[in-house]
Amino acid sequence: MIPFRPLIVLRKLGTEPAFGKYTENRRPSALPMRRDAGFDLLASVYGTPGAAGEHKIACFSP
Amino acid sequence: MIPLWRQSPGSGRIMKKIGRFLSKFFQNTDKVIWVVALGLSALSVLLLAGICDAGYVQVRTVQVQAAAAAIGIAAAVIAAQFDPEELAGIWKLYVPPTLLLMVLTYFVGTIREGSTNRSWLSLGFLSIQPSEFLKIAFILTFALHLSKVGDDINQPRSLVPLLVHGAIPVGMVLLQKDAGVALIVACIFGAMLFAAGLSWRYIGMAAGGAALAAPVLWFAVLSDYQKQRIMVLFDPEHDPLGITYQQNRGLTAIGSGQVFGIGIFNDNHIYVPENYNDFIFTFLGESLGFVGCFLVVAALAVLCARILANGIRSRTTVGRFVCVGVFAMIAFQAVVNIGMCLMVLPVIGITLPLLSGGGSSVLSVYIGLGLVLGVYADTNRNMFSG
Repeated sequence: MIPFRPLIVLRKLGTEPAFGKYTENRRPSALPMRRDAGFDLLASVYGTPGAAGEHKIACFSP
Repeated sequence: MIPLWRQSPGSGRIMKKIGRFLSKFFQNTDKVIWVVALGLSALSVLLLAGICDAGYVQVRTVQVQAAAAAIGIAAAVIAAQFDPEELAGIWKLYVPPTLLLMVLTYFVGTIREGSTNRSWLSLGFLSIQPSEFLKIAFILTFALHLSKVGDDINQPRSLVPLLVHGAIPVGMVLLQKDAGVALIVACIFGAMLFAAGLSWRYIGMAAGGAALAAPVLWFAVLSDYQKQRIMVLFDPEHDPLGITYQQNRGLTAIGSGQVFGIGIFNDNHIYVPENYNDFIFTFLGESLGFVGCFLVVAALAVLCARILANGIRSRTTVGRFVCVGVFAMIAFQAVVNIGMCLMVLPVIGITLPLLSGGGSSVLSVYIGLGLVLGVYADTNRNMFSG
C-alpha cells in the first residue's frame, strides 16, 4: 500500500503499538520455557493424538 | 589563580554535584544524538567564524551562535529529565506564554534586515523569534491530542478538532507573513496526522483539494516576488542580478568548493546574501566541498533516523508522536533548506537545523532533541518493569 519504506515506518510507528517495541513477547530470552517441552520432543518423534482425535505431529515450538 | 567557583565555600560541592549529575546523565542517554548535534553545532560556530573572518558578519553573530548552542544544550539536558507525556500534560504552563509572544509580534514585532516577516521581538540586547518555540509547543500539544483521539482519528467528530488544532499555529505564523515557518508547521502537522493513521481517503481528498486550490493560490494569494521565486526554478538564468541573484551566487559558491573545498578561513570566499543564515549550506559547500556537504547531509540523516528509532521504542503514544513531530521538523527543514541552496526549490525563509546562524532556531532544535532524549530515558527506565 505504501511504496516508500520511511513512510511505512512512520505509519506503523503511530498505528501499531507493538511495532519495533522491545516487548516481553519479542525478547527471545524471556520466552517461557514450556514445562512439557520434553514431552513435545518425544511427541514430535512419535506423534500424539490431537483434540479432535486425529493423529497429529506436535512440534517443538519456541 | 584560584577559579572563581572555588573561592566561596559550598560552591565546590555544587559544582561536584553538577559534574556527577552530568556524568550520570551522559552515561544513560542517546549518545548518537549528542555526538551528531554537538558536532553540527561546533561546525556551525566554525563556519560562522569563517564568515566573520571573510568580513560578512560581525563577531557578535558568532558569539550569539555559541551562546545559543550552550543554552540549547542545557535546555536539552533539562527537557530530557521529563517524560514527554507529563510535559504535554502541563501545556497550560507554556502554551499561553508562547501564544502571547506570537500575538505581541503583530503589534511590536520587528522586521529583520533582509526579510519581510514581522517575526522577531526585540529585547534590547537580543531578538527572539517566538514562532520557533511555537513549533515545539505545537508538537507537544498535538501529540497529546492525537493520543487522546486514538483509533477514532478518521471519525469527523475527532478529525475536525484536529484540523482546527493544526490551523491555529499555521494561521498565526502566516499572520506574521512568515511562509517558511508556516510551511514547516504544516509539514509537522501532516506527518503527525499520517503517522496517527489518517485514512487514505482523507489524504486523497486533501491532495485533490490542494490541486483545485493551486490556481486560486497562484492568482489570488501569492505575491509577484513569490511567483517569480517559483518560476526561476524553470529558468535559472532569468534576471541574474535580481530575483535569482542569491541562488545563482549560492550555486557558484558550492561549485567552487569542488571536492574538498577551499577552506573555512580562505580569503577568497564568494559573497552570497544571507550566507550566515538560510544560505549557510553554500558557505559549507565552498569551504569544505562535496565531502563536507556529504558528511553534513549524512549527519542530519543519522539524526533523523535516530529520532524515529527512539519513537519506535517509546512505551507511550505521546512519546511516539513527539518523536514523529521532531523528526518532521528537522527533516523538512533540512530538505527544504538544502533544496533551496541547490536551486531545486524556491527561496523561502527556512533555516538549516543546528547549522544556520540564529539563536531561536538553534534553541528550538535543541529543545526538540531534549524531548526525544526524554523519550529515550523513559523507555530505558521502564524497559524491565511492568
